[in-house]
Formats: sequence, C-alpha cells, structure tokens
Amino acid sequence: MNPERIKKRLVFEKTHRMRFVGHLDMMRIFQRAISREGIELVFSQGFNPHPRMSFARPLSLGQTSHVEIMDIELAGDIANDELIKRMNSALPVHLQVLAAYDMPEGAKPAMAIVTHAEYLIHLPERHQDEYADYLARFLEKPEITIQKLAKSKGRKQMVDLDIKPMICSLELTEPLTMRLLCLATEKENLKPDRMMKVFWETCGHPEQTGYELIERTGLYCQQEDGRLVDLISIMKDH
Amino acid sequence: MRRVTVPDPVLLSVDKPARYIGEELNAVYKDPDKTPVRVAFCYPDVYEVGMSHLGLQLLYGMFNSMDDVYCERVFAPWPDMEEQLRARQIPLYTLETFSPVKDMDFLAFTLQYEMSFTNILNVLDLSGIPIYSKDRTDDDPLVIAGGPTASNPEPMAPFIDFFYIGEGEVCYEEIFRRYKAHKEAGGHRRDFLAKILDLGPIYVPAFYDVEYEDHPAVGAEYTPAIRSFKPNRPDAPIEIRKDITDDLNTSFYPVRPVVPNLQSVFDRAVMEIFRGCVHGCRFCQAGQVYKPVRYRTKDMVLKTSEEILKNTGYDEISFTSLSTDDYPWLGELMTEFHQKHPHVAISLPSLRVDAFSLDLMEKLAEGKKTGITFAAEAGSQRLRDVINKGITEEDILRGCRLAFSGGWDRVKLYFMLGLPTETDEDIFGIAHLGYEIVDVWRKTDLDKRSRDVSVTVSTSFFVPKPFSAFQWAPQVSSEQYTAKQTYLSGLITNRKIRYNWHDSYLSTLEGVIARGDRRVADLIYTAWKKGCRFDAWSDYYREDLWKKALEECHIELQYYNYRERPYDEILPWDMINYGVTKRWLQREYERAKQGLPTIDCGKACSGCGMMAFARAGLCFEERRGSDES
Repeated sequence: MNPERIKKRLVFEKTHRMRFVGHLDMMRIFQRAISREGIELVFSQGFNPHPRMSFARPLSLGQTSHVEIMDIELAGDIANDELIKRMNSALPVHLQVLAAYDMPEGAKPAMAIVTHAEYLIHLPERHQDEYADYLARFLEKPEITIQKLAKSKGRKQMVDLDIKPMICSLELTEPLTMRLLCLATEKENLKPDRMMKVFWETCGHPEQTGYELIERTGLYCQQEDGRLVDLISIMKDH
Repeated sequence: MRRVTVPDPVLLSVDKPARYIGEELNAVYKDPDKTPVRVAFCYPDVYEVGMSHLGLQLLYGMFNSMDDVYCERVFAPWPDMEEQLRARQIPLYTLETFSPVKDMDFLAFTLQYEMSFTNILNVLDLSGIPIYSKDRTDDDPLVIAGGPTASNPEPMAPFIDFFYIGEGEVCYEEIFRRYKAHKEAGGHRRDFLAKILDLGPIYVPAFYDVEYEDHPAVGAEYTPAIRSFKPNRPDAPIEIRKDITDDLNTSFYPVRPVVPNLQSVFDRAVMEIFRGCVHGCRFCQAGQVYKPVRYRTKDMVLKTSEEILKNTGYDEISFTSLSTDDYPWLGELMTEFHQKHPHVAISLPSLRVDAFSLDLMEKLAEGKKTGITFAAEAGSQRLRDVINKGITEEDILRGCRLAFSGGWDRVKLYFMLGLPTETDEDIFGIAHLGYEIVDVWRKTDLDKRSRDVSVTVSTSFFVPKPFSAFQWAPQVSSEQYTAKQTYLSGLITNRKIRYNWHDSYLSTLEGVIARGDRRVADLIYTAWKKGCRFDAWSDYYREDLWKKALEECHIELQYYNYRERPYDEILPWDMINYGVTKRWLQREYERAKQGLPTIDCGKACSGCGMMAFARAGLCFEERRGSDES
C-alpha cells in the first residue's frame, strides 16, 4: 500500500504576544489545528511516530515574523485556499497561515536550503541620536564574541564563538531601525538576540538588552552564482 | 481602561513566558468598556495546572456567555515572574486584556486544596488589593471564593468578601445581574453583599461573629473551642445552603475550552460524565459535598465530546467522574465513542479491573498495555470496612490474575497511612498485598505473562476533612506518620515492589487548615508573610517557615489535629449545609469505629439527608418513586 503523500509549503506569521510561545509549543499548536480540521498528516514510521512537519529555521523566543516557512506532508490533497482557511480558523489569531503552495516533486525541504536570514531590529527611542555611532563602534570590533553552549572536549560547555563572520551586513536604515542580513545555515545560524546583547554591551548600555524588537523579514537561499533568492518568491514562481 | 505593560526583557527572562500572555485558541476577547461586569477568575497555582481544571473552563465559558459579563483569567505567577513583577512594580494583570486585576469588579478564586491558600494572599498582594477584606474600599474588586475546599471557609474568612457554596452553574447569573443594577445605582461594596444574601449559597464572613470559650477545649492543652457563631445582622442567614445543578444535561458545559499554548498537566479534552458518588467512603469529602448523583445521558456525553474535539483538535479525551465504573452506560459509551473516533485516545480514571475493562483499556491504548491501578486505601479487610471502601483483596488479586495473563506487567496500588484505628497489622497488610500480587504473577502461565513485573505501592497520609464521616477523628502526628512509613518501608524488600511516599509534615499543615477556624487565618497570613507560597510544590515548600509561623501564632496541633473532637462541640463549618446531616455523619463515624460497612446508595438509601434536600439526581428519583408507589 502506498498512501497518497501531498507535500505543502506554508508561509505563516507569528506576531504580537504569540512571539513568546516557544518553537516546540508552537509545533504542537499547529499539529492540533490540523487535526482539529480533520486534515490528515503523514506520520513518520518507527517506534515513536511523529508528524512529517519541518520548519525552515526556528524563530527565537520573543521575535516576530511574517515570513516563516513550514513544510508538511498530508495524507490527502486539499485546495490551498481551503487549507489556509481551515487552519486559520483553528489557530490562535496571532499565529496565522498566509500562503500555501504545492511542493514540486523532489523539491528539498526548506530547512535544507535556507542559507541566509534578514531581520529588522527596532531599537528603543532612548538613545536615538547615538545609534549611528554605536553601530560604527560595534562593527569596528575585530571580533564579536558570544558564549554558546556547545560540545567541546567531549562534553557540553560554554564556548566562545566569533559571530562577526556570520554578519553579512548590518546597517541603520531608519533612525530607530537596523537591518541585519546574516548566515542561517544548519551549521551556522546567527541568533540576532545574542548579537544584540554584545551590541548593547559594546555601547555601554547592557541594561537595554532585550528592549529591542526583532522581526524576521526574509529567509533566503543562496544560488550557485552567489545570488540570494527569497524562499517565498521561489514558490510564487512555480 | 488601563492596560499593564510588561517589558519584553521581563518575559524573555522568565521560564515559559507563554504562561503570562494569553492568546490561546478559544480565549474570549470582548470590549471591556462595553461589559459592565468584569471578572477575573483565578486558579491559585501555576498556569499549566490551572488550565487543566474543568471548573475554570466551565465558569469561564459560562460567565462569558453572558452579554454583560467579561471574564478573564489570572494564575499565580511562578516565583521567577513574581520577582520581576515586584522589582518593576508591575501589577498582576489578566491574560486576555492585560488589565490590572485591581480594576475588575470581581476576583474569583477556586479553592481546590489547602496548600494553595498562601498563593491566594500572594495574588491579592501582587494585584495591589488589600489582603484583609476589612481593609478594602470601593476601588477594589469583590473577592469571591468557591470550590470544594470552600466547604470550610473559616481559615480564609478574613481574606474573602464572600464565599459561594456549591455548584457555580446555579446563581452567578443572578449575582452579576444584581451587581450591574447595584453599580448603576452607585452603591457601596458592603451594601452589595447584603443584596445577595437571600440567594442561599452566599456566605459573607464579615456578617458573622465568632466567640470562644474561656477554657481549653476537651482534649486540648490551651486552645478554647467555639462558644458561639452568630450573624451580626438580621438579614444574614443562620444556615448557608449549597447550590445544586438540577439537570446536568441542560446546564452549561464548556464545549469551547481554552486550549493552552503550553503543554498543561492534563493536555486533553475533559468530559464530565456524572457528578456525585454512590460510595460512602468515610474519609472522602468529595463523595459528600458533590452529592446527589446526577448522570449526564450517553447521548449528551457523545454529542458534547464531539463538539469539544471539533473545537479544540485534542486527540485525547478524559471521561471524568468520582467513580467511572458506576456510570450506567459506560460500555455502550466507550464502544460508540471508539467507533466514531477511532484515533482519539480515551483516558478513564479510577476504573474497576475486570475482563471488560482490560479489554477496553487495551483497545483504547491501541494495543499498548498501560498498567493497572487499584485504590485499595487500606491494607486489611478490617480497615477497609472501617473506611467503608468496598473493595476486597480477592477483587484486587482477581484483577491482577486477569491482567497478568493478558500480558500486563505494571500494577499501581494506592493506600493511606494513619487512618482511624490503624495498627501495625493493617500496615503489614499493605506489604503483604504487594507480595501476594507478585505471587499471582509468578503463578501465571509462563507463556502468557510478561517477563517481569513491577508493583508500585504509594502511600499518602490520611487527613480528616470537613463533611466526611471522619470530620471528628484524630489525625496522626507527623512523627507517627514517619514511624508508620519507616515500618512499611522496612517490610518491602522485594525488588519487584517499589514504595513511594509523601511528605508527612505537609499533611499536618493540611490538617490544621482543613479543619481550622478563623484563628488559623493568622497562620496562613504569617506563613505567607515569611515567604511561603507554592507549598504544594516540593521545590518551594518551606517547612521551616511554616513551623515558625505555627509557633508565632500559637497554633495548637493537639487542638486542631490530634484530639478526637466531641460531638457537642461547634465545628467551624457548622453553618454550611451540604444536604448531608451531621447526625448521619455521626452515625457513620460510630459504625466505622465498630468496623461496620454501610451499603452504597446505588443499592439502598442509608438516610444521609440528601433525599430531603435535593431537587434532582438519584435521590430525588428514588423519593419520587417511593411517593408514587
């Protein structure tokens, strides 16, 4: 028996206070919404089956986004408009599906092809006039070091990691907004909140840590020619 | 309307920030400016625990079904969040609109267990509401308490403006209607309290005075008993009668429960199949305070469950009641439900173990054998007769025999230590039963039984509760508890048997509060002041602080716990009428001492008084039946 397997790619948003719901809890919310609507997910084989559902790159706690991407496998086909409508009626108001696409045969899952992410970092008004200066100082640093829990010498411990090479560009686009383009591969994925902690420390305002609002605005896949292509626009073109 | 701002760094720094943001599926959003009656409903424990509670979902849904009412939720913030709120002077807020709790018209607490009481004081304090009722002004919400532990309101009396006794389905709509009229007329809070006294289930502690004797009580060292308990105004009723929902098939049921964004303790749909219990276990408070027995019909249960599943997306449902076996249509219900929803897992608490239930359990768990459970409560037949627990050793062994030959390999047994008249022999019986069960497994056909077996014996300590037949009984001291535990632990040496136990001093405190009076309120206040909260959580429970508070407040354990209370002494909860007469409870206590069981009321009426009190349920039908004949 070979049951039907329909692969869909969904674009969704996570906004407002929903940004404080963690990734695992959010996965359960999606699963429940799908099952509430009687849409059947394909489950993995094995002793502990789990639904075939994967995310391009998990969003950190506290961040908002309108460009999140999730791949799911369904056990039967359903029109995309219908899928969106039904899922949204079963989802909290600030976690909503914006678009659904059929995945072409053999297409790789989003999590395997994402290489870059773009964020807008909305800064508190408090130091409005100094941000240009702060940013310059921050980028002048030869190394931007964060502490990361990682396996080192056979055990898990905090290790230093220089994230500067992972920042592709960081610029002040408006008086209170920075735009960040950074690596987001499976191996090297820059967490902007971690970067901002160092940012605030560098400019002498560690107490501001966490007061910036981070919004993910794009997920990209780098082509062989080096060009960055927006994951959503790839789907639209199909 | 004021809104509370919680800075991002606060939510980013605490564990599980999803506890503090609302935003769940089925959460109700209304315009607070257009709802004249605003209610904050508080389950005084952490979010994941509170969200699993059916009573919260029921009242939340019911209140919000009323046009003039907006009910929002609030929970006890975990200590990390409390620290943040206090440091930044952020008032406690409701999850739906982030309004300060202080801005509500009502703040309603559900009392589910004694060891949540310090959390209630903490919630009041974090909301900026005076702890003591007498210190509140017209700017503060009216503070309500209800739920099973409100059956003895006295230890919380000084903190609560009014108690609602019994089932909330009945009177709240009228209370809110009168409140709206009262608010429009511009009246004071105290005057409102007088306007609801005639409803029946309302207890306003401030309208009653307690006097104490001038000599120590019988069996006590220095604490005097209550001399009198009287209303201090003519309109306060002498007796508070509990409210009973007449028809559970037509009353409100939360078919659209709020689905928590965080995994809650019981992360599934909940369907209550009936209320009340036919068994008269003499230690049990719930069995008495939830009388009479009222069934929801099979059709109602099926239809309602279906709606809940549709509205939530849960893949598991729990059919709850105090004793599932006694539901008359259990077999048909399970079969029909399973046919309709083959992929929805069913959990059935407290099921009798027989061929039918084993078959059912296996079917429900889709082939997984999940383990079987017996609430034997006592280790010997003699003691089981004392407590009127109608389960025999043979019932248990027969159940195990069946289960083992079906391949089951895990048995859980629950007991209480410190029951009235208990001797070492009864405790020995607990260990003995454990060994017997292992023996049954050993004798089971090798081809049929599992390769190994695990028997878990768990004991908790018996705490006498108001409105149970043991409400006069002495409670064992924590030293005696520990001795019993050590004795039992020494008897269990087989590696196939595991022994789990509870903290003993916590049971002592629970006992003082459960049967406490207004003087115990000082203890709760003092313990809270010293920093006690989340006492039911071993990480936060502070025995040392409670002991200090006990000393400072001169709480005499001999008076509250250790002595047997005389029948002619006024009990702190005597003004509450749950329909079960004191005379009947007394008779039950006497029969217990003689080791005489009482037949359960599914089979014959033992005259507890409910038949005359209730307008519904099993008793009512029986009364009507005998009237006709």
